[in-house]
Amino acid sequence: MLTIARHTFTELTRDGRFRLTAALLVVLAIVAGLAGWQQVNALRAEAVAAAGGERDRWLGQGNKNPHSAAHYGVYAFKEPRPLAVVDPGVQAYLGSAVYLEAHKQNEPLYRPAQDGTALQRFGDLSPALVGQALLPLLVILLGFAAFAGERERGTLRQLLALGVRPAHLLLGKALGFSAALALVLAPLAVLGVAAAAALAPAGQRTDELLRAVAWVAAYGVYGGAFLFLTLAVSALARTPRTALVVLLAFWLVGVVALPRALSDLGRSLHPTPSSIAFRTELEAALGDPHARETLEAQRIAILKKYNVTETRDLPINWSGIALQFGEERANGLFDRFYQNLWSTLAAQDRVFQLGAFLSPAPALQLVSQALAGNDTAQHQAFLTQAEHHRREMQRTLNGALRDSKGSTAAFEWGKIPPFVFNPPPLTTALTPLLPSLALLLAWFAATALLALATLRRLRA
Amino acid sequence: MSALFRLEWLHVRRDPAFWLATFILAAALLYGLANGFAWTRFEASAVAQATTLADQKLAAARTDAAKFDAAPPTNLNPNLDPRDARGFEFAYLRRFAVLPPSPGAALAVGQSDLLPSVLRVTYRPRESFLNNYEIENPLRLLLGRFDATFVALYLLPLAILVIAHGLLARERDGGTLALLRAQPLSLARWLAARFILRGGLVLGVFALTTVVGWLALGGAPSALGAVAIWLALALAYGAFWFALAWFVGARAATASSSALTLAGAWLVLVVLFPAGLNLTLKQLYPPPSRAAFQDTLRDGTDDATRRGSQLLAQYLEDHPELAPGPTAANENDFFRTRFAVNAEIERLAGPLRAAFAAQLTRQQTVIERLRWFSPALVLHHGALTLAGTDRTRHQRWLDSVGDLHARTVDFFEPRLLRSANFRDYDAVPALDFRDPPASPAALLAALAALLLPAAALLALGTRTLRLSAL
Repeated sequence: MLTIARHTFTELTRDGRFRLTAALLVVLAIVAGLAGWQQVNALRAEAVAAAGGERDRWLGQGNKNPHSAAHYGVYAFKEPRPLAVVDPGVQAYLGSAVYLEAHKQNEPLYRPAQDGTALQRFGDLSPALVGQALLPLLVILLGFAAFAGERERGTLRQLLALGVRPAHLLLGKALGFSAALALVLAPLAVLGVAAAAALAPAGQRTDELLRAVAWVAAYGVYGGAFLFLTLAVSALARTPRTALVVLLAFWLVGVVALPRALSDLGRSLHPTPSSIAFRTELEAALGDPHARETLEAQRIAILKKYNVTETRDLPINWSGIALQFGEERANGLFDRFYQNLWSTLAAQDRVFQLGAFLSPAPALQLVSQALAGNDTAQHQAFLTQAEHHRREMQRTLNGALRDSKGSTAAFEWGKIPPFVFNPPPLTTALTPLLPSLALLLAWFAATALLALATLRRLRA
Repeated sequence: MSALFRLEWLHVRRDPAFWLATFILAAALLYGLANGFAWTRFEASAVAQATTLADQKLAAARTDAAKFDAAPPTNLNPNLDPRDARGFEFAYLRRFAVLPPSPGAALAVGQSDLLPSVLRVTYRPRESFLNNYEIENPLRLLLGRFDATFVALYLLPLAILVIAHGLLARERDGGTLALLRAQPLSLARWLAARFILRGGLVLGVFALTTVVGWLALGGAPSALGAVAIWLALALAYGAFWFALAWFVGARAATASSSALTLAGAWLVLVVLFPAGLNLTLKQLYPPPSRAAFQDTLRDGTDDATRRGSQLLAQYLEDHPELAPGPTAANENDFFRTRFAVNAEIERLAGPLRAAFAAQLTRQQTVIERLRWFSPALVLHHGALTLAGTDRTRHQRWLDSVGDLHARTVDFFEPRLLRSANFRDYDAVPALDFRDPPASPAALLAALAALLLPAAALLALGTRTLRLSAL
């Protein structure tokens, strides 16, 4: 078996075609990775600088009404995640700055893709794209003739006649191919682990390193599934040409066409509202006149509590209470509207995830993004934390306003802490993707079994 | 020749790979068209919602104004009074600049799912409304749409690869080529018959599916002109791939190596060249930093607010008509200062915005020049232009939005200061945006860019065949 493996490996590494394609792939991945590295560094420096500017402005507000400060607000900036070097995921299609101000939960601003050309829609060249789309293609191009070629030359029958067991033959070939492919995967692995080690903030280094290792493993499983599939088809096909055409067709449908088709299917099954409809409804709900009646009831209750008849006689500042009442009422509405919207997006992504029954590509895409920290859910975690920060900020400022009656002292702006994003840990990030992980492993197991089963038949 | 075709037809009829590829292509095209229509309808409905909302609010302003005139309410907040410019602007005016989908929009979603097409333009600084994105799943933005242009761009060449890669080499592999050579028939003519029959069938089915699908899925017959041009580009692109298959087939030793070469060419022309070019351009002409942009604007706003009174004096020098008269109310100072601050923000933001646009234009210029090297880019560029979902049209629209914003500021600033007794409902500025007529020269250039290399490949392939036949 090892002899077969060594033979396959040597044959591949001596093959000019393999060398050329593999070198092309590695160069592409490394160039894209280094460009990504530079991008992560630049984006992070910009986010840190802008956040610093915001903090200075916030602290230097001087003596100002806390509610003016609430309207002045603060911007929260999202720093890029270290593994964006290997998989930027949806990063380019999401805004990275949120304005945190009084009364409103704002949408994130500035999607990097808005400053790019239509070319980016051909796909951003990243190590992830190389691994997802080109790696399987390399496997197919190298392996389609593994058995079909030997059969055509008549060497397959010789091998079997020599008493080589089919399982050994398969594992030997698989091992040989894997060793050759590992040469291609290795630079990707190094890039990922190096990015996690070098770019992760101190507290998150372990988590990011685990993510990097899992990321490499996921691509290994994915490549392995394509390898076994290729070997199985090669053993089944009568000629190498048939094997090649069948495998290319699977790649085309499963890797190129299916993800787009699935994502469009998700939208037609679970449509999202238009932005204008969403906003109009939200505005209408926020402006609901019933709120005024509830507020009035609360005012009367507070007057009663302090045993006074006029708001101005209260020992506290009534506007602080009224504003906080408005905040809390609006918060309930924001939660309802955004939860609805996000659950629709999640339902769309589940349709996409189900597509992993048809091809391993959708599963890998989701898992890869999640491991790199660049999927929709982890971006929403940023938005949720930023919104939480906004609400705490409003509560503190309105409380200060409430208690400020008769005082002229300036609010201590440092009482509002700076916003810090804590990315969800690896386990939280992967929980919604357990089906994808399971399906990815299932593809690996199923293709391995298929390859074994077809080889058993060879003997007969 | 007709006998050749008849003979070949017998082969084609019994070729399952041919029919499977053709069927999958047609089904994918129909799905792509349906997706394109679903998106276009969604966009049109968003535009309609915006227009309806604007009309309803305007009608409400008139009705309420008449009602309040007839029976003046007590204690009405001027900010909610439609007869007051401030009340009208704040509570009633919902005016949107909309970019309606072009008649051919369903052919290519392009950039229309990424760039906003409904913006609520107010007199406030532009940054307050320019980033109103459409709600969309980021994963879908990343993957791109399964639309008709995707089918033509990616799937059509691969269908052609499956159909045409072995038309000659299979005979060579099977050893029947020598038999053919023995016939009193030129190899090129025999092979031409095989190619023409299959190419005609596939591209014919593609064309028929497009037209029938367009009409059946509810496309406007008036847009059939755009569909025809799109189809001409797609078919020319298909012709290029057939010509490439002809050229490669004439040289390849085996059917497998022919398929490998074609797959490699597809990868380079459709995937790697565009993605690599994008990566290179992003390195060469990176857009400025949005975070720094935001930082500058915030700093500028702070500074402007602090220098409010000084800025106001400067502003009033430029706008003497807005200087407080003898009856100047104090509250107007708030608006005057705000206008001055807005003008200052606009002054700061203008050059920064232009810097983003300039980098984008640089990238765009290089793409327009280099696109001739990849038929995929020629088709992509042509299809998006035709569908009106390209960046250039959007930029033209944004320029009109900028112009509308300037006119809105001019309209509202004096009126917000002397805000009482506002009746100029009909005079509120509206967007002035029109598509320029399509340029036939650009279309001819694109067709030529697809057909000339196709012709060259055909000629080279034929030469190889002739030489090898000797």
